[in-house]
Amino acid sequence: MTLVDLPSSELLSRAREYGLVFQAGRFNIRLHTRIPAVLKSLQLMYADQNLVDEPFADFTVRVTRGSGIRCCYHPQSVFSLNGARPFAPLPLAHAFPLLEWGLNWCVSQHCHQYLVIHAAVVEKHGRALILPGLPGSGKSTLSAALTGRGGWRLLSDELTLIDPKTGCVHANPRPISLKNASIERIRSYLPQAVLSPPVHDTVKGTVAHLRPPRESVLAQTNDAIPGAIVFPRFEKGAKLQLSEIGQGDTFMRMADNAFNYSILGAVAFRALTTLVEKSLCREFVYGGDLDSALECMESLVQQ
Amino acid sequence: MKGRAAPAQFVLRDALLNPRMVPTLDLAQWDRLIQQARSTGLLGRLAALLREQDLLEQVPAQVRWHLDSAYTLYRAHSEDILLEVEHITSALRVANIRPVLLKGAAYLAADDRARMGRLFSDVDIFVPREQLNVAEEFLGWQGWQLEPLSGYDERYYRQWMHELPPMVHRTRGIALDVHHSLLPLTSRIHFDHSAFRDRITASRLPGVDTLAAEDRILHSAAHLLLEGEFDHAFRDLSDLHLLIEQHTASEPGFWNTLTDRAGQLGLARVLYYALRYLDRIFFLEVPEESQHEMERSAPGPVTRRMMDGLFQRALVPEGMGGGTIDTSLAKSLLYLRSHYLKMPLPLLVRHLGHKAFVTPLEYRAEQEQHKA
Amino acid sequence: MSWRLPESGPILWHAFPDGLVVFNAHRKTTHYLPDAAKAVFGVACTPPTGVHCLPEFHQAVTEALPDAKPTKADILAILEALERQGLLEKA
Repeated sequence: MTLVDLPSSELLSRAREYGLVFQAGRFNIRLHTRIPAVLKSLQLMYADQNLVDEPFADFTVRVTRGSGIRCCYHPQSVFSLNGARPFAPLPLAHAFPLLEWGLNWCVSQHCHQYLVIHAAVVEKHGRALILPGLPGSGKSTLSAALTGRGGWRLLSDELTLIDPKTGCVHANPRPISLKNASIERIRSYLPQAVLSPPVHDTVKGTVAHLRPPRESVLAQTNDAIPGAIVFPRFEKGAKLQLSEIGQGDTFMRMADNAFNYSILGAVAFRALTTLVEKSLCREFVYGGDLDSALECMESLVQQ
Repeated sequence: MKGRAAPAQFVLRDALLNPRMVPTLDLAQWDRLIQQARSTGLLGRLAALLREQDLLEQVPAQVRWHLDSAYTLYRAHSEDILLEVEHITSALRVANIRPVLLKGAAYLAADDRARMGRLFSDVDIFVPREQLNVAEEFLGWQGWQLEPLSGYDERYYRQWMHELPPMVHRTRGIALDVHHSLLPLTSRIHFDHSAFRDRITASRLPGVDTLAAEDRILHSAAHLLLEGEFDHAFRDLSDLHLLIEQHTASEPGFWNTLTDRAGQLGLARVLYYALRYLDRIFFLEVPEESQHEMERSAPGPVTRRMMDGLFQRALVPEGMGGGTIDTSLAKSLLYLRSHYLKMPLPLLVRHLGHKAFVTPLEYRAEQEQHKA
Repeated sequence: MSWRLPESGPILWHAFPDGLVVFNAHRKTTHYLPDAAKAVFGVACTPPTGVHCLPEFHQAVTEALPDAKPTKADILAILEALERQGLLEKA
């Protein structure tokens, strides 16, 4: 049974009483919340994910209303994992993005069985295309376009999970976070896309989430072999440009983008050298033209 | 896990006491165990204990990675702290100061079992008061900076507390607390501070000392029961349990050493409470002789009943069967008590008044500045 | 004067065409060494690793980068920089 099959009243009562347990990518989440808007967006964004019957959940998280006098006139929401609150309270209207950031935090801070890199990752023909980049580099827009129209499979739009034992990239498909202008861009580029209601005035500006393609969710247990590492850079109106960069240079930039490089130490060093050794390393500047960007990325994984 | 859970649900305590029980757990119990361990900061310890007894193989696969991951984090953290201690000792060696490690870093340096799976947010060192200014200066040259504090907070630390305001290294970001006295300076309990210094012992790390084992225990108990901070109380109680268990088992006569020393330092009442709650929560077996010795330091029955209510609530994490009064109320009362013990009354009133009225204003001003 | 890999902890390295990446597992620092630094450090970490003297380092760099025409003083400066980073120590 998937989230979309559950009547919304049942969804509410589960989340309120003993927690709503569902698959969020490769992790089982038990969510406690009494905020209906969170569940509404959740059902929309995680529609194809399974409900879980098993009594064990990887992360038991809460999204609660803030307490205190201030909250009477400025309602707030708080994310917590077993008492730990990684973020300051946010306005109640930001509760769903807050949950998404919280789930990213669960993965980036607690999953040291992986080398966790701040990068989007998609797969085609069995090859992973890793897209590291700072916020604003367009990695989310690019992964939305690649998976929505280019026939790629979404592994993650935010956190690339490398298994140091096999060198493979593990999938953890969750909603793609779109910001500001890219929300409209994707809405017009992918008319079939399902987006969550936009939330304004967050620290990242206006945020909306995009539901991952159903095929990506169904294939979330399949790993991918590294194919290419591409550092995207969005420059409005710029000419498309794909250029080769050094592997040593790529290694250093990937190490900078890894959340737990210093925690894994030598294990991370070895995993990353193997990854870079197997990958094409490119820098990619693109303007508004997503079709040619897709063609360009396709050329990297064609046999 | 809401409200007054039965003590039978305190699976974390059971697993810490007897790791061999974990193969019998079903998935629902594992779920509770991992959650309790996460919320108390003891997931790494649980992993280390299971690993020590080769029990990880018997953990179900979907649970196993949580333990492995916590263990990886703990190992990396220990390495980072050891390296940081190396940096601190070399910065102070130039000034001819030999620091004494306290708390978590001391467990590491002394190779205590309490180091197992332990994460801590800062390194605590003791430097004699007369060397404090030099220490601060030399640490400053090597990149440690005082965290910016309000004028009041800074005075509070320097005058009334037993440490410098926290220092943070500019590039490595690990906090360092430099103590110049082992317990609060103005205090209703009269400790013999200097006596702590006669049993300082060399650690296994070069250039750095720790307190003697019995003093590490008393210092840890004093901080747990007098500091007024109970956010990590259960974890600290577990440290204390491991310390006492280890040293009483490995050194004949250690119980006497411990109780005698507590009397000598003026910490007999503190040890009394510590052993009382270790018995109630971890079923620690205290030999009859030491128990009698400790009874002499017991408070009156009314005080004791009140303290039992407060401490058992504050020491056991919420929802794990601590007692009948509200956790946050117990914590607030113990916070007040800790300040009552620390300061003369007029000073206490001034401090709490400042905390209640001035700090929120400053905080708001700061927030607004931040927004602008 | 001669140098070797530090004995305080393991040093890991991997040679990429554009540079050598080096991990100091004791200090947990990562370094990228291109060009001459790559050639200098390459001498210390080419098996059998051991103690090497300044002329050896100088010769290796001259062979690897014939156009650079490095002086012994250049090499010495690189060796000292590597020493400061904890990647080499004086033997």
